[in-house]
Amino acid sequence: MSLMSEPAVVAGLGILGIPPLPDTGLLDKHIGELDRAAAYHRRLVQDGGHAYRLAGTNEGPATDALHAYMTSRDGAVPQAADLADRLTTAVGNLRVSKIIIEWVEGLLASVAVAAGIAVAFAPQLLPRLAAIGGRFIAMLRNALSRAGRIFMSLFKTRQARRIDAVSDRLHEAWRAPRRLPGGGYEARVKTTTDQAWIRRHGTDQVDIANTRYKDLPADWQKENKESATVAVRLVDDASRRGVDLKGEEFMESASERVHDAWLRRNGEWAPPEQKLPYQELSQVEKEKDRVVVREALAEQD
Amino acid sequence: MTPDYVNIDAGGRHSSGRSFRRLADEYTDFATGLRSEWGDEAPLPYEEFSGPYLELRRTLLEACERLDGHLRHVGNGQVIMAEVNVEAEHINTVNVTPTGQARA
Repeated sequence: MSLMSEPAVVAGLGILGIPPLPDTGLLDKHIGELDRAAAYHRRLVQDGGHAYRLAGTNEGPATDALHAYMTSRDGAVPQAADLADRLTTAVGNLRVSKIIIEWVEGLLASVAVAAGIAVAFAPQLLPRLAAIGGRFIAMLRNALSRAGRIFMSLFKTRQARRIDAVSDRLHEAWRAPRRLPGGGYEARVKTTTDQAWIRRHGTDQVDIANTRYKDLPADWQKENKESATVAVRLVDDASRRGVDLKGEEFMESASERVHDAWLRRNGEWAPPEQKLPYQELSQVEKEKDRVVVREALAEQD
Repeated sequence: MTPDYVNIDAGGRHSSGRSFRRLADEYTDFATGLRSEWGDEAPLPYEEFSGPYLELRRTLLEACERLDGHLRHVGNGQVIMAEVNVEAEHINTVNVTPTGQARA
């Protein structure tokens, strides 16, 4: 029997005007469903790998093409692994949410019982008890809202999440030299045209140095995201082809591709020292492209 | 790295194709079951939680449908390639090694 259906708790919550918390039985049903699906996909990753290895002695261009497809983000086994990961994280999020509900349930039950006693002996305490109960409910809603945001983050595929992570690290690397001794960063205010962001914040001005990557408007996320996308795809492609990702050859060829893509996007306004083929750039300028590749390599696993 | 020769094991490729087809068949049943089992019933009466959660379930179901297609595609591809390989083995009998693998 749930604490919320105990007669003393029901009566106490009624006195305080707080609705009882919902039954978590349905949450258990959802946890079970997703858990079974996660386990199925984990098995599928193993079985798919085994099925693929049955043809493992084949070699040649056709085999290489198949290998490239199988290990790409569109490949069946990586897709199964991505689904297993997302399902497992979702199950974890449901379990944590259930624990939080049960915890708040216990707190509310105590307040409700206290309200039952206060009615008889200290009615002046009832408004304070109602405020405490209200705070517990607000805490719960806040925690569940965070859980909802975690679900939203799982809409994306593994590669999209890696691109976001690399973009975030590039933003952190960019603003690190602007860090101030007393906290925060030296301001860099820009104008945004992201209407959704403007509606949420009531202004088109954004201090990009004091804003985390995920909270930036879309137009100020765009450049980091474009570079990260190029680098993550280069790393994935090279990994599929068995290229030595730790070697200087890959670092330089990938950095060149990152720079070429950057020039295609920004060539119209780029300063003369950056408007050059990669090989002719100074070491300082080359390092900016290498940083992007390095961050993509760090996010590879 | 791309080798400068071709090593063919049509039997292995055929087995691989059959395994993927079996996995695809099983997965089709599994995904169909998920679609009927996973309804639109919210686990909690809080929109900020259940809205994203139900949207995630729809996203995951769509991903399952795509995976179903990919598994079948790989299985069919392997079997077709194996059949092409067998024909190539007949043509290249001169280069057949004792293990039955053709090296061109």
